[in-house]
Amino acid sequence: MEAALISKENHGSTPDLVPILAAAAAGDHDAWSQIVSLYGRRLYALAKSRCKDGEVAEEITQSVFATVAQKFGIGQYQEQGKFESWLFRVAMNRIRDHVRRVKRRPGFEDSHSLAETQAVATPTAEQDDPMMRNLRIALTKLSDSDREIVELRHHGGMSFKDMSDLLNEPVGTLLARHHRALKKIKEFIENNPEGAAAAQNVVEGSEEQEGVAGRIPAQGKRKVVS
Amino acid sequence: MSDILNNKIVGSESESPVDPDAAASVTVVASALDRLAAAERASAPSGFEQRLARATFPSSPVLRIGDKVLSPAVANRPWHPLRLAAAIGLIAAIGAAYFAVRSSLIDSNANGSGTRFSKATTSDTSIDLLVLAAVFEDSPILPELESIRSEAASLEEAMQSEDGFSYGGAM
Repeated sequence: MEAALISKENHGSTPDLVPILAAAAAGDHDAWSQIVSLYGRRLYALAKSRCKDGEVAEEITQSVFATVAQKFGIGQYQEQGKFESWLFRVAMNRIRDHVRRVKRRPGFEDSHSLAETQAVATPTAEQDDPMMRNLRIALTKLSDSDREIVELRHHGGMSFKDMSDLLNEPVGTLLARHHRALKKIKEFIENNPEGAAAAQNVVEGSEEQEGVAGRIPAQGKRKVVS
Repeated sequence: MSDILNNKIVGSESESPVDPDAAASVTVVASALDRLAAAERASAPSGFEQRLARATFPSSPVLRIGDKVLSPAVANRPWHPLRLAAAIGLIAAIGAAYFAVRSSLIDSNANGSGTRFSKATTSDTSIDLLVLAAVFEDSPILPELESIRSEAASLEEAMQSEDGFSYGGAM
């Protein structure tokens, strides 16, 4: 069951959480582990993308689950099919609090630019990829609200419906803003020669490996689906 | 549902007819973002989920919310009679010292019965004398006050005759 849950984690394909949540609230350790496995890394990625610090991301993730555990423990949580929205709302609040605290610190501008530099210069295999570096920089160029949507969608793996519940915005609005944000990222990468070359490589690699070019017209035709 | 919505992003937003190249590049950005997100998830430290589950398991906290916090038993140390007597003696000594100091201060500032006299300025002398006369009308110092008042009156008259000004205060 756990494997099935994990395999569905991307973009919020919602498994039947109700029995798992009920079991976790009743003190079932396995059920709790499943919830943590399902959401732990997604929350971690979301927090790390914004905070640029793995330890802070881990602290925030732990703090979010501690809040959930507390609500479970004192019987305050009522499952209404919106667990994911609530969980990510708690996480976003923690992340916003952290970002606000950091911004209030003296010398924030310097440390912020330093953090951006560190974020793109960390010598891991993934971050050596120029496309990844440019994506990270491009994310910092987005407005906070656009960035939230992109990060909730891709790092948090949320569905637009759950994002709609979380942000109190219509799904159509979120779709439009997400699309515009992706276009801004694309323009940023195109205006960056290193990134443009990398993007081209990605396109070619994707075409070879996944047949993306062949899939796009099909997606275009499916635009009538609503 | 999410796949449908995702496809709708590519095909239905404000660009009609859809430019396949533009849609392709946006899709590439989306897939690159997915790869970035996967890298961020993979960067979590090893044993992250197990540690997280252990640390936050609802029934695992050492102290649950609502549990009573038991304080350690207060040591039961009865007062020893000698210690009690010493405390009473100390309090009595402090009280006696306080009253002794207080009474000596009153004596040094007082005039006989403990009435204090404040120093009056020259311009207020006449008024003060009137007040004193009223207060001590029946007291043994009245004759002395009368003599002081007559001296003050004569002094005022002398000053009036010198500079022609009246210094007010009918005596």
